[in-house]
Amino acid sequence: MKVQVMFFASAREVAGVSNVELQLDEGTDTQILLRTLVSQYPTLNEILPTIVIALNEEYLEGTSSLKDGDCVALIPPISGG
Amino acid sequence: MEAELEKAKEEIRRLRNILDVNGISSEPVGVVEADAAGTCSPFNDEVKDRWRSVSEHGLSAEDISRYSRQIIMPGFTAQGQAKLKNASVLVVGLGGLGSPAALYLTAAGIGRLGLVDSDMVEASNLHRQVIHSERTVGTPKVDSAAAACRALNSSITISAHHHGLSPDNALQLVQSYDVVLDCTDNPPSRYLLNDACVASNCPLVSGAGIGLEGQLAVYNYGQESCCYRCMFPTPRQAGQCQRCADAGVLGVVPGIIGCMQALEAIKIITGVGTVLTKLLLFDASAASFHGMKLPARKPGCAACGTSPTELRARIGAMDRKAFTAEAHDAGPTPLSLLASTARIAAADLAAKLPPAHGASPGCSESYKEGYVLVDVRPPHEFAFGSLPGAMNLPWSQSSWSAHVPELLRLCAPAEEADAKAASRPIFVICRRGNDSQRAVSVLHDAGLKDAYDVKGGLVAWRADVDPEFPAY
Repeated sequence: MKVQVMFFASAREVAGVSNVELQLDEGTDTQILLRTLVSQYPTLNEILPTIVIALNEEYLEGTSSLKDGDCVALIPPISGG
Repeated sequence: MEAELEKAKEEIRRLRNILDVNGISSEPVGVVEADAAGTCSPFNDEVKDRWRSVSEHGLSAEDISRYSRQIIMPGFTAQGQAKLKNASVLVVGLGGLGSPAALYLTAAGIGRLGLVDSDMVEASNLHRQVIHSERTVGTPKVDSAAAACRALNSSITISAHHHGLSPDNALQLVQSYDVVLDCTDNPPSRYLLNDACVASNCPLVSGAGIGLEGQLAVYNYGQESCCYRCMFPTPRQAGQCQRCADAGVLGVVPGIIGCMQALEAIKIITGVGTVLTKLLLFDASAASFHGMKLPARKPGCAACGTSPTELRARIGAMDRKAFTAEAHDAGPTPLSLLASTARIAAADLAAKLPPAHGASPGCSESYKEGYVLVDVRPPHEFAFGSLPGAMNLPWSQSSWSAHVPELLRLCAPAEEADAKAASRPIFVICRRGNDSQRAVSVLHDAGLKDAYDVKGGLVAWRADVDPEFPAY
């Protein structure tokens, strides 16, 4: 299945891209997805505790299964003003 | 004849009803003004009083005229304007967000505007903090902002709070306003303001902007609405925080978010439209907005899941030092990775550089002078200005050690037999003196012991050696 991942703010800095489309095995959930992303972008691990995850534009509490066409967004807080 | 008169009266009643539904005073303003000017009025006093009494919104004729372009909107009306006139908004932070927010609220006719900031206006603020001007550089931001707002609209009440936001005044400030705008630039203030709003049951319109990205959300608006701590329960550690001074910001980006903060505040006050229930993400590079529906209030939240009494006590116990201007302006916490013998003061480095500062031949040739000078800032910062003969090897945690062989060669060129030349020291400099220490540690580990970091970096260089060096 294909899942789109969007990076914002410092997550975008770490990943170096604003979004990627990943080909994932069936049964992959958001937790496995995050582990995959951390192995791809190790610095992501440092900011992960502060990041909010959105699944299809809804706040995600805990872990959720993923299906083809889902969009996952990594949203760190920004503080500049 | 009587029937016609009755018909005409009925028509007048119908027209007046339409005007009242739209919130527009059916008082014949022009006629009253003509009367005040001493000209003859076709109406007697009894009739005038009867006509005047239909206006219940409390707006003056001047108000109606001044705000007519928003009052005339069917959804806004004079009632909406009257709600604005009777409402108060606190704008905390008068930077890139607070500047447009305060100006638009002033222009829209908010009744009372509170302004909070303890900083002074700096020249580097002006590209985005549009409420200030060249004339007010060096003066307190609250004074500069209050003057700009008064010049725009003398009919509103403006309270300038000079002391900035702190655990000592947060509750008192927030409690005396209807809506609070978080236009601050640092995490401690964001959490403090959130907690004060939760404890005071006050809606919080939170904005943020950095680089080419902005965020906007309305927290603590009604019983269901989550708070900032529900969303971001884990504060970021020092060094993880992106600040405008370090990460840069395109001025229009916080400008757009600040305008939207004013907009949401106006919607909350007037009831016009639907108040934002998402975390709105603005991506200026792609000119796109994304949204994430906010969660419901979290029962275990350290702010809105706590009793107001407990929360107030916690605010009172917050660390004051985190809210000082120094804590915000100092940049990343200075590191002390190296022994003092491996560090050199900017003034001592100056004594070793060629005397004709700025006229040194070519970059990357400092080794000809008997030393190697390395600047580890990112290339775009290096391009702002650099020391004579400095070579730019940008710091990277993962790959900087790749430069070691090149530096070894420069320090001890094989073709030179001169023993003196073979032991050239390496001086490493960056903006503030943290990355330069990290780079020197790498050199020490690789056996290059004659490597030194310039204490305090180019900030110290500017302060102690060359005031002409660009500050940023």
